[in-house]
Amino acid sequence: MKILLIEDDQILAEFISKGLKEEGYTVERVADGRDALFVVASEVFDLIILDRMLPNVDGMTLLRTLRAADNATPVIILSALADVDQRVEGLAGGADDYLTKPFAFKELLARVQVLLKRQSGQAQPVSVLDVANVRLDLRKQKVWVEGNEVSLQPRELRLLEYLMRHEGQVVSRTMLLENVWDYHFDPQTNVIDVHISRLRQKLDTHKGSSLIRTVRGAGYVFES
Amino acid sequence: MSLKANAGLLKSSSFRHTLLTAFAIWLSTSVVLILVYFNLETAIWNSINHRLDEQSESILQQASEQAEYDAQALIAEMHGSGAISLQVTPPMSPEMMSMHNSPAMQEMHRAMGLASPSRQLLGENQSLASDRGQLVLLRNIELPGGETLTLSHNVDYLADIQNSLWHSLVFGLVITLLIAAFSAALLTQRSLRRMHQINTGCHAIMAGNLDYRIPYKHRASKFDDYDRMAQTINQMLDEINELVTKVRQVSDNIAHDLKSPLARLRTRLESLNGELATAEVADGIHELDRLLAMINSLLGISRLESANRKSFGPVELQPLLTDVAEMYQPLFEEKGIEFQATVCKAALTADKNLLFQALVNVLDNALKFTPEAGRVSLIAEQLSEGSVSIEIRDSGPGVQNTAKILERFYREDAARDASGFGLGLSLVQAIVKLHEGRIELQNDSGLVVRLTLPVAGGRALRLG
Repeated sequence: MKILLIEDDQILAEFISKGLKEEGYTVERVADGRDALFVVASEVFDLIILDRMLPNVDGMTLLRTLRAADNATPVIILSALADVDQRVEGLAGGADDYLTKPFAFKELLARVQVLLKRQSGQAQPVSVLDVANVRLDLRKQKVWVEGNEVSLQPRELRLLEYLMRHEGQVVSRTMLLENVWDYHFDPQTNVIDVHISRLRQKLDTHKGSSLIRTVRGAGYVFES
Repeated sequence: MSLKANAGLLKSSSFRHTLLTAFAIWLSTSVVLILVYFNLETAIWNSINHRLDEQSESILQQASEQAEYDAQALIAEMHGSGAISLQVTPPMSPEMMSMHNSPAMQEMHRAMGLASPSRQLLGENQSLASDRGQLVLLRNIELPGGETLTLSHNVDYLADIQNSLWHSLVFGLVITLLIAAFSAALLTQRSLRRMHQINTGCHAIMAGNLDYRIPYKHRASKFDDYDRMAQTINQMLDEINELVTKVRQVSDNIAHDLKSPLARLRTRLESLNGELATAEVADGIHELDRLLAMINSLLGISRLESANRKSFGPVELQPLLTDVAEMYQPLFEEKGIEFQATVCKAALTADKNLLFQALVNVLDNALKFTPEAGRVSLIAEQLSEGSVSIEIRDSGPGVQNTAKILERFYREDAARDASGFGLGLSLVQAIVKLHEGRIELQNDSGLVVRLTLPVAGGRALRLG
């Protein structure tokens, strides 16, 4: 998997590329907007990590040029501009995800993994999700654990759906907030943790082991 | 003109002003015309009286010149001299005269729509009478021989003159009044249209379209005062636009310049955490995240204060409140707090993310400061004045200074050890202000935070 990192901050870029390489990805680094345009035009990448504020050509212009040229490579924007409208602008410009600086590397990694998985063509529409002993029927909006129906609130159902769709992948708290709740906001408390623990109580039949595992400093993973 | 436009016209002060001016001009014209009418009437009566005087004088003179005169001959001699006819009549008694001149009689003449002379023209020997359907003015003269000669002047034509005068007066004045009202409406319509144009422009700008400009004529030689006003407003808007852009740029730069080194610092700490994972490094990262959250809140507030309402759209309050309540319900339960939400339907023009953030901040405070086994309620209700109030009531300790608590970084002594940095409610206030609503705090066996927001189409509220 080949990732292009467009970031003018030397230290940050080094850190990100080191981390990604440790995870087994090939990383190419560019520090300038104009250089990035050439690289993007000549090589094929699986994913692009893009800073918004770049020398010469800024990130948004780069992104729009890319999309105008029918290049559908997934793009994660990495920016210090953290407002909702700036985020909306980024996503409307064709980005697949938007992460604000500073960030935890694990957060970035989780997003990279989710995007790459989606890219590898797993996103065919399904109406029934079946992971471990949990079965979620999206059309009927019903959940069974080991054959027994469990009643969930609509929001809990969406939370479970998101976790199950990303089975085996780490999803961060912000990813859950962005995708399960339709609001962009800064929770000041551990809102997600409480909701996850509720969901766990309803799903887990065996004491001691849980389908939803907490990954320290990163988020949660749903695994069998 | 539609009915609505008419109502707007009546409320317009410039229309009222024009109408008043037109009415004043009309009124003075009426007074002048009525004065002319009365003067004319008096002049006509006076000339009739004068002719009667002349006639009677010449008769009396002839009578005194000829010792032996014949009344009938006199009459014959005088005959054919205009509208005056003569006849010898038995003297009309003064009683009859006064009866003819009685107010009741005069009233009758008036009621018949006939002219009547002014009071001083009627006297002992002069009266108005009806002669075979014709109105005549009678004057008795006593001849030296003791006979009474009655001069009668036909004044029936006066009624016609008076009638046509009155008619043209009334008709003319009614037409003038109509012209005045119509031209007032027409003149005001133009200025109202310009006003309306400027108003719509200002609303568009307030709604976030900062690039909107009010149209005006481009040839400076054709400028009227509205064009000049539009031009001034546009210049002011350019100025404001530039300032807002500058503020935004500055805060973007701060965001970038302040966050980039912190991002590097966090990276270093994070890679250090991989190598030698100690509690200190973890604490350092945690502390840094708090600092970043604070910077984000601060930047968020200042951006909100210079924000426009570009991101606003129709928002249904009920699902939004249900979502936020549903999100916090488990958190309250976890702490053993009884939480109840009563929501109501309302359509707002708002930024749903900001609104959600505001409610989250208030509920977060309630969660933080309400002791275990306490109670928190959220009650939304539609108010009659075109607004909706959202009240969040907790059973916590309340606050000591309800005014200061909205200031940035202000924290009550009791809250010093709680997490947070005193920006939560400042952010709520900035959000509510952007929505043209108001925030009120009040101690009532706990803290009561009331957010009042205008519903879609409602008028703006006074900022609190």
